[in-house]
Amino acid sequence: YVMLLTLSPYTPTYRDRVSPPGVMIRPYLNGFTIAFNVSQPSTWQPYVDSMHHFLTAYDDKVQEEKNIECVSGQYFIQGGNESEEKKACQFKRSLLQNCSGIEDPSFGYSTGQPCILLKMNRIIGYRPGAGVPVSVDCKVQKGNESDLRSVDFYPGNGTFDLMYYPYYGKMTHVNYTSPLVAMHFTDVKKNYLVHIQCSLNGKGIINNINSDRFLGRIIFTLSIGK
Amino acid sequence: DDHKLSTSELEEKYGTSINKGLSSARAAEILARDGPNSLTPPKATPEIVKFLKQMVGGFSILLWIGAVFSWISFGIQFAQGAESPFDNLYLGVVLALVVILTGIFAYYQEAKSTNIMASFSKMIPQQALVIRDAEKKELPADQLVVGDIVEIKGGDRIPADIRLIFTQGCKVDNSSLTGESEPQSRSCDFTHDNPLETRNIAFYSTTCVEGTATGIVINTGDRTIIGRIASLASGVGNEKTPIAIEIEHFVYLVAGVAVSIGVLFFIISVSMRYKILDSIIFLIGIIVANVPEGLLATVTVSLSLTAKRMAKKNCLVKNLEAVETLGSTSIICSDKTGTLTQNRMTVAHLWFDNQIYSADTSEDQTTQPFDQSSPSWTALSKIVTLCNRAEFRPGQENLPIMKRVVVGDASETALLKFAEVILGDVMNIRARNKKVAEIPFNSTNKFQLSIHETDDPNDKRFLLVMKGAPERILERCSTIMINGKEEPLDNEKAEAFQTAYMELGGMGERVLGFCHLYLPENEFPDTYPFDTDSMNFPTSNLCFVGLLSMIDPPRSTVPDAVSKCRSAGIKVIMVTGDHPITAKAIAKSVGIISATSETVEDIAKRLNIPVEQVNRREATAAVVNGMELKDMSLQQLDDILCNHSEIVFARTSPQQKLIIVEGCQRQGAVVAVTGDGVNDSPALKKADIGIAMGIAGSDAAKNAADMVLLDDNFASIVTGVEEGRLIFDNLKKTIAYTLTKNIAELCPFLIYIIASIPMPIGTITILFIDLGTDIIPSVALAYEKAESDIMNRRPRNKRKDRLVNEQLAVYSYLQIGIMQSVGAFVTYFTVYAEQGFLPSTLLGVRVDWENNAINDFEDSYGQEWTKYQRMYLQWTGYTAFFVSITIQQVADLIIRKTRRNSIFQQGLFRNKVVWVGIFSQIGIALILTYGLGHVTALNFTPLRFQYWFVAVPFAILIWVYDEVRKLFIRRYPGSWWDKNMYY
Repeated sequence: YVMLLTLSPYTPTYRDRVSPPGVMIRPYLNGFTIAFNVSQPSTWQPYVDSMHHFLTAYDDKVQEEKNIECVSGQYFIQGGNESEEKKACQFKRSLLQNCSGIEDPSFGYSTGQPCILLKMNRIIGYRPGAGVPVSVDCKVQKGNESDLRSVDFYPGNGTFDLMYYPYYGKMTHVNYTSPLVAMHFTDVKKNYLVHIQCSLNGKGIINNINSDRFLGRIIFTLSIGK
Repeated sequence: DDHKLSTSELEEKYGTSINKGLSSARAAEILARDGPNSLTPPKATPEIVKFLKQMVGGFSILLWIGAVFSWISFGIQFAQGAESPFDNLYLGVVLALVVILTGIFAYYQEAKSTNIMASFSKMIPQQALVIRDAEKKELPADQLVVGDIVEIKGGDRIPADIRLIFTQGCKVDNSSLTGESEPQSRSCDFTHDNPLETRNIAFYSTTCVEGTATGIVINTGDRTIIGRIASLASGVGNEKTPIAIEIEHFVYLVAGVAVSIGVLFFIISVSMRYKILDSIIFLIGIIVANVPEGLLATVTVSLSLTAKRMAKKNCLVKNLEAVETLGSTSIICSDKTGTLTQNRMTVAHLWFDNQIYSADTSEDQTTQPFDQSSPSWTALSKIVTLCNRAEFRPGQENLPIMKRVVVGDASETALLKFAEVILGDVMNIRARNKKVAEIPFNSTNKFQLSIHETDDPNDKRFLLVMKGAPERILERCSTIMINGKEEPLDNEKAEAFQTAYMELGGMGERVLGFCHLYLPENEFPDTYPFDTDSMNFPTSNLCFVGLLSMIDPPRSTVPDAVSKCRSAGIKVIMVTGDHPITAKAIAKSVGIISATSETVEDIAKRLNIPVEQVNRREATAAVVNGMELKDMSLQQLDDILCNHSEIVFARTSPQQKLIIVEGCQRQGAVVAVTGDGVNDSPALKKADIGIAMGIAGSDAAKNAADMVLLDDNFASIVTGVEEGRLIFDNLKKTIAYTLTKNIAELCPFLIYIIASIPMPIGTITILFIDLGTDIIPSVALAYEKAESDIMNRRPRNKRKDRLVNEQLAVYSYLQIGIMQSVGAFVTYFTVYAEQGFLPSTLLGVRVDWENNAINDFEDSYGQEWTKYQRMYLQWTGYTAFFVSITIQQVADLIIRKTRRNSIFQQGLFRNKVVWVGIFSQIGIALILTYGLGHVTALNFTPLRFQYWFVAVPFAILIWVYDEVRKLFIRRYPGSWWDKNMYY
């Protein structure tokens, strides 16, 4: 227990097991199958609720209040004492455009063009992409390539801006909000189980380990009914 | 009835001919009908049954249950389509493998020790000289059939029950059958109605001592007298060995703890709303953690190591568990002849010139120390040398005299060797004093006589020498030689002779008298025709020269061994077929009856009162005659066994031996019995440990015994006792060592269930400790030297001194075990904390932690982890837990070297094998973590180097704690501390 006193409260001694980052999606309802019928709102409403709930912290107002605007395209490095409180960059919900839920509160679920948010796991001090923003792409994991005809990525072309990194830890980086990439599946084969793999691409990202299917990539299933 | 029939009737009955024997064809026919001439070995348990027994014995049942549960839960999970159900399948397979492998191992060990025995009994195939098809043939003895004519000569073992039809000076040693050690003469005459008593039958497995004989085989194999007795012996049930009882007790104890904790936590986890399936998996984990899988194998190895060590010291152990039984022995019933004694007659005392001289009787005598200057001795030595028919077998000139093989009876052999030691080259002396006539010893004359030319060329007289029963010799003498001069034999001198004779006889020795006469040259010229039938020479008015007495002397190592037994609290009882006086004399000389103690008869003699008036309680020693024993009630026997500490049973039959053994066992003693004859086998079986003689023992005795004494030496038994006691102590240490870490393996499961932390150690990892790192160290403890003189304490009490007692369990489980768990948990928490999960975060996270869908699990610092990253961390936790248990087991191993003494008194480096154990332990751990760290199925990960040292302070704490415990035990013997902390 003396051992515990030697630990830093800000940064864990080792971070070798948590990096490179894993990937998660929202909506998240106990599994990685997103299945709904457009015509039956009750089948997609839980997903929409989950998205709204998740994005509350990204409301433009909240972000403006708590966080600062940062310079895009470079790491937001905050020196100074380790124990100093760190500033967090704004990530406004509106950046997600069609997937922000502002214009379309159903995130496209009502039209059969669902939005799915992709989030990279937080790792203290990690600088993804080594200077080049990490980008996201999606493809059909198994099955016909043509099942997935088009995906739109927001913000930008589906990149995580460098300014959101590095993360300084829960103690000091209190208001930090993970940057997101929204994937708008505008044209997916209907009435069919489509297995999709979305991966991160960038320097230092590993996305092809068999044993960990959430490391640098995520696999989920879309099943959109009429 | 064959002994009553005449030769021709026999020929008719068996369809054979004395001169031609059977035809080969006829013999083959009978062989097919009767089967081979060998004893059917006791029915062996079929190999497959033995194997299956190993598979379900001990903890195997628990592990099978574990395996079956794993498969059931695998089946359920698989049916439900869960993501990783194969873990449970693997676990089940591993558990089953563990059971099967340990089963095979135990089976192999047992088979190996059985094989040693089997090879031992098959050493020499016996041959027999048979007349068939009118030709003499050498045949293997098991090919003999009824009606065969066999020839036997001195030294042969009788190959079947034989009706003798022709004999020449034939004597047989029936001791293996009746226990009588005196050779009995055999002739063709029907002398007794009882086939056992009649002289014209020689029995299977007895030996022909001298002479030759021819006979018809009348019984073969199991139909022989011996065969019938041997089948009786298998009727006496085998007693369970003390160590088997102890291990059973231990298995019940540990299995009881495992099952009750398992079920308790099963109930707890069900009531805590865990799924039934999960609860079953916990149950398996708890059982696996609690059961010391490797321990039984370790015990087997330890016992066989000791067995090997004992074999080196001439104790061949047939049944591994007998190793320890020997250590708990409290009474040894020992034979006299061959075991306590050297089994050869040796000249012990001489009487000439009115004085008794003692001779050296040790095994490797090369000179004789007594005064040899008297001319009487010269005369005596001449008689000893010349009046003797025994001869050395040729071609043994390089062997020590005592080891040479002699043709002749026991007394003559003794005299020959005695003379050879003092005078050298007896054969040459005999050649120079050519024998001209001889009358061999017979029971009517009771003397032996020969007439020789002298080696002095100027002395043309013949020398007549005679030896025999002293009183008969004296009768024939008119003079006696004193200091080389012949003096008339008056009353006074005759009195002196009587005193000496009584004194030597009273020492249980066989006394022979010697006399000589120089025949006057004028009456007996060179050419005088000596005729031994008409005795045309004087056989009275001879000159008495001296007495020689012989005894089968005790082995030189025996008195020491007996006193060792005494200080070890083991009662040594002599059971012999010999005469009480001889038995008592030997018992006194080896210390079975100590110098100061008296028998009832001694007291009576000293106080000069009749035997009946002596207070029996005053006598510590007792010499019981077989005849008295026959009339005794069980109470009386118990009374003798209880009240006398030094007991000799003389003139006992092997059947009475069984009664004595049972009497001892009624006193609650663990009884070791030595025996060599076939008739001993019931007693050997009945005894807690039967010890057969390797040299003199019959096959039946060896079969019935648990142990074979290769050198027939009593002292070897005592070495065996020492080893047996040592292994009991060391097994205690091994078990204490092994049980300790079970707590450190069990706690993770309990805390996992109660506090819902991520799993600290995996079931497979536990198996790697139990069957990997811990095996060699626990075997190493079997090599530990004794802490104090273990031969100075009483034998352990079967009922009170358990192998696993409360103190051992409490100390191992609740003290050292808990310390170890704490040490391991500290390492575990350190690993997690340094990776970002502080202990406070870990509490209660189990459900989310194990959820496959949560791949952004947040740690104490806000970092997010995928499931696999968490799993990897969990495995690192397993590895860290494993490593710290290993490190602390090193300390545990060191403290277990002693139970009372400080490690520094015992010597930290004296037992090299313990260090081999420590290095192997660490080596295996290194290989597992770094070598196999990338094989995910084993759940090991390469561990940061510093985590190896987190548990070191705890290891040191364990050591210091135990040193303090031992210090208090030594300081305050008998105190509360001593009673509760000494295991």
